[in-house]
Parts: sequence; structure tokens; C-alpha cells
Amino acid sequence: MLTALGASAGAQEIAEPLTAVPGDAARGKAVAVNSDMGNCLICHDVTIPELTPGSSGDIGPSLDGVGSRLSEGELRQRIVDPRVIAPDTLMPAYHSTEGFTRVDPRYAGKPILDAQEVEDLIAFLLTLK
Amino acid sequence: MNFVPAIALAVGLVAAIGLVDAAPHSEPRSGYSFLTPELQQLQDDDFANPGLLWVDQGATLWETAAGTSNRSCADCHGDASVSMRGVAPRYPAYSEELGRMVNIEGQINQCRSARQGAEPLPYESEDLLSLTAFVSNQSAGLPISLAVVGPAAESLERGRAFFYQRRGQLNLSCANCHEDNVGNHLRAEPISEGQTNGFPIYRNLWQTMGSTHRMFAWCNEAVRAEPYAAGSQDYIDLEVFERWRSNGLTIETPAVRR
Ligand code: HEC
Ligand code: HEC
Ligand code: HEC
Repeated sequence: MLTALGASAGAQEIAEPLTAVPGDAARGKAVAVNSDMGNCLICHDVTIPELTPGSSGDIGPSLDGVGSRLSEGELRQRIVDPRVIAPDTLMPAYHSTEGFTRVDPRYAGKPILDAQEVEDLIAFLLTLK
Repeated sequence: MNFVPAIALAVGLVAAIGLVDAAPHSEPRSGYSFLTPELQQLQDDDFANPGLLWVDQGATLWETAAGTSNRSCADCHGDASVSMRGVAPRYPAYSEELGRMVNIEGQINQCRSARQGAEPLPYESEDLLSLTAFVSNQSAGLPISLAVVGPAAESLERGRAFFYQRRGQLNLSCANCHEDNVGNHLRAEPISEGQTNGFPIYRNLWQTMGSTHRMFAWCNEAVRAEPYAAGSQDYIDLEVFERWRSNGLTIETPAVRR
């Protein structure tokens, strides 16, 4: 499963930014860390000063170096909806409202992250060289 | 996302990197084996285990007359250490009287309404948690042995479908965590097999006792799925499947969990 998204890297991407405003890496870092937003660290490790070593999850691969491994467009596809690349992936689709079952009414019809949050997040991930 | 366990223990746990496909287990493993030594000791300590307060309260309620019949549980069932030993490992069970599968909570409420002439106790009320903990504790150390025949088999299949259905905004099934990622970590918290042999459990995160169905609801909410009502048939079916998965594990009630 680890390789599922990586193996087809390059095959699928969303080249066009979702918004006109360029992503802001500092805000993107907050999106990644904040448990009410991306909460990425529940599943992924990443080496940043804000994170106590050992306090992140190990469900997905480390995000260290992900900005070198994947292009901006590839990252966008993996955040917006990784099921396009790997249908059975555990990685949530952060900017989709399709194909879900019994979503809590508080979140129904809304994506986990809005378009600008996704762009900010990508800007942050691209700093992880 | 609000599924970060607030008291996740960060200290001393070094995240192993990227072990995604945990091998399917042959022997079920209790949540106990995923606890820190401190919490294991707390569960094992007959004086300090906070869940025993509910068991003690259950013992008092067992002897307390209730309802229009003015009878107590003990008036019909006598010494619980005899009459209730061996009950929890068989539950949920099919009730001829109700024509459906009932769990221990449901059977207690059936006795209250049909035989004591008392109001059923609400889910998560102190009294229902106490009686359930007391009844289950009588079987402490006995292996779960759910027989799956007739209506139980149909219930089990519905519960199995539930367990493997991805749901919620995060789109995860019970199996995605409790089969595919056993031993991996959500933040610093190790994921167990999600077995039910310790329920009702005293959970530090809740600072109180909680039923199996409260746990199901918590895990549903963790993936931003709409939970089902405690006591609902959907959760009874899930409980049947969960108990079947736990077959062979010994009853630990009252277990202590993070
Ligand atoms: C519920 C667990 C989970 C959460 C939460 C999660 N991921 Fe993932 N992620 C995974 C898994 C598992 C993979 C591995 C790919 C697969 O399984 O198909 C992955 C893969 C990735 C990849 C591809 C990595 C590579 O090297 O190919 C990126 C990038 C990524 N995640 C970023 C994120 C970001 C950013 C967030 C938060 C906004 C996030 N993930 C939240 C589980 C998760
Ligand atoms: C996003 C991950 C995740 C999903 C999905 C999930 N759980 Fe859990 N579950 C946890 C965590 C974390 C805990 C607390 C630590 C542990 O015991 O694994 C837990 C604990 C439990 C426990 C208590 C175990 C014990 O030893 O007392 C049970 C029972 C349980 N889950 C059942 C389920 C069921 C049934 C489902 C599906 C409806 C489910 N879980 C879905 C993460 C999850
Ligand atoms: C008036 C008599 C009476 C009273 C009072 C009574 N019960 Fe029962 N109970 C029964 C009978 C009869 C059965 C078996 C009925 C059945 O199988 O449907 C039963 C079954 C049970 C069972 C399932 C036992 C098994 O082997 O499957 C449990 C658990 C139980 N009672 C708990 C309680 C508790 C707790 C109380 C008090 C809150 C209580 N009962 C009060 C008569 C009573």
C-alpha cells in the first residue's frame, strides 16, 4: 500500500491551481499540523520544529522529502482525491464530496479542506525537500 | 478533525516508519496488550482499578428491589457469582421473548420492564453501566464463546458488513484501523484490534465508564461518520460480529483503557 501513490507518480496530476491566490507555506504548515484542519500528523511523520519526535502517526509514509519526490500537480491530486490514483488508499480525499457513506450531517456536502487551504498545504509540502 | 485522542501518550514511543500492511491475526489480542505498563497495573489492581466502583455499585443494585413488583435481581437470580457466571461470554444472544438479538444491557432492561415492572435504564446511565459491569465481571477470566447459529448468524453477517464498510468524511472502515493497522500509531497512540472483551471499560479519555456502543459511536465520530444510537439494532449486529472476532479472549471487565 505504501507504494500505491508513489508508484504511479507522474501518471496523475492536477496541474491547475484551485484558486487564483498563490499558496502560503506558513499557513499550509498550520493546516497540516492543526488537528481540526488537515491533521496530517495523525498518520504521517515529518521533521519540523513544531513536532515532538515520536508524537506523529505511522499509518502513511514520512512526508520528509515529499516536495522533491512529487511535483506540485502530483501533490494536488494526492490531496484533492488520492482515490483517483489508488482506489483503496487509506489516505482521505481532502477536497472531495463524492463517494462517501453516512457522513456526519455537520460535514455532509463539504470537503475536509477548502480550495485555499489545499493550495496553502501544497505550498508547504513543496518546502519539504 | 477531532479524533486526536486528547491524552495520547507521546512519551517514549518512537514511531516505526511506514509499516502499513499488518499481517491478519490468527489469535485475537486484547486491548490490554497495547497498554502502557502503568495502565496495565491500574487494571490489575483490585483496589485502584476505577471500574470496580461501578462493579460495586452494580452489586448494590443487584440486591435492590425495584419497580411495581418490588423485586430485586437477586430475588430471581440469587447469587450472581453462580447464576451470572458464564453469561457474558455468550452475549449478545437471541431472545425468544423479544424475537431479536439482545446484548447484556438489553437483557437487563428486559428484566426490568417485563419482570420488575420498572422503567428501562437509559444507555450510559450510571445504573445501567453498573449492572452491566457487575454482570460481566462475574465472568472475568472466562473465554468469550459466542455460538453463531440461527438468528445470531444473520446478525453476525450484518455486523460483518458494517465492520468492512468505509464511512464518514474520512472514508475509513473499522477494519482499516483495527485489522490493517494494528500496532501502528495514530499520532502516538497504538491501534489495537478493537476487541470488546473488557467492556464496559473505564476510559481515561472519558474520565468515566463507557459501554461498547459508546465506543462504537466514538470510533464512528473519529472518521466524521454519523453514529448510530446506543442500543440500536445496527450496533447490536456490530457487537455480535465484534464478540465473534473476540472468541477465545477472556473477559476483562472492568478493563482500563487510554
Ligand atoms: C488516515 C491516514 C492519513 C491521513 C490523515 C493523511 N494521510 Fe497522506 N497518506 C496516507 C497513506 C496510507 C499513504 C500511502 C499511500 C496509499 O496508501 O495509497 C499516504 C500518502 C500520502 C502522500 C504521498 C506520499 C508519497 O511519498 O508518495 C502525500 C503527499 C500525503 N499522503 C500527504 C498527506 C497530507 C498533506 C495530509 C493531511 C492534509 C495527509 N496525507 C493525511 C494516510 C493518511
Ligand atoms: C481512524 C481509526 C479508527 C477507526 C476507523 C475505528 N477505530 Fe476503533 N479505535 C481507534 C482508536 C485510536 C482506539 C483506542 C485505542 C485502541 O484500542 O485501538 C479504538 C478503540 C476501539 C475499541 C476498544 C478496544 C479495547 O481494547 O477496549 C473498540 C471495541 C473499537 N475501537 C471498535 C471499532 C469499531 C467497531 C469500528 C468501526 C465502527 C472502529 N473501531 C473504527 C481507532 C479507530
Ligand atoms: C421476576 C424475576 C426476575 C427479575 C426480578 C430479574 N430477572 Fe433477569 N431473568 C429472569 C428470567 C426468567 C430470565 C431468563 C429469561 C430469558 O431467557 O428470556 C432472566 C434472564 C436474565 C439474564 C440473562 C441470563 C442468561 O443466562 O442468558 C440476565 C443477564 C439477567 N436476567 C439480569 C437481571 C438483572 C441485572 C436484574 C435486575 C435489574 C434481573 N435480571 C431481574 C427473571 C428475572
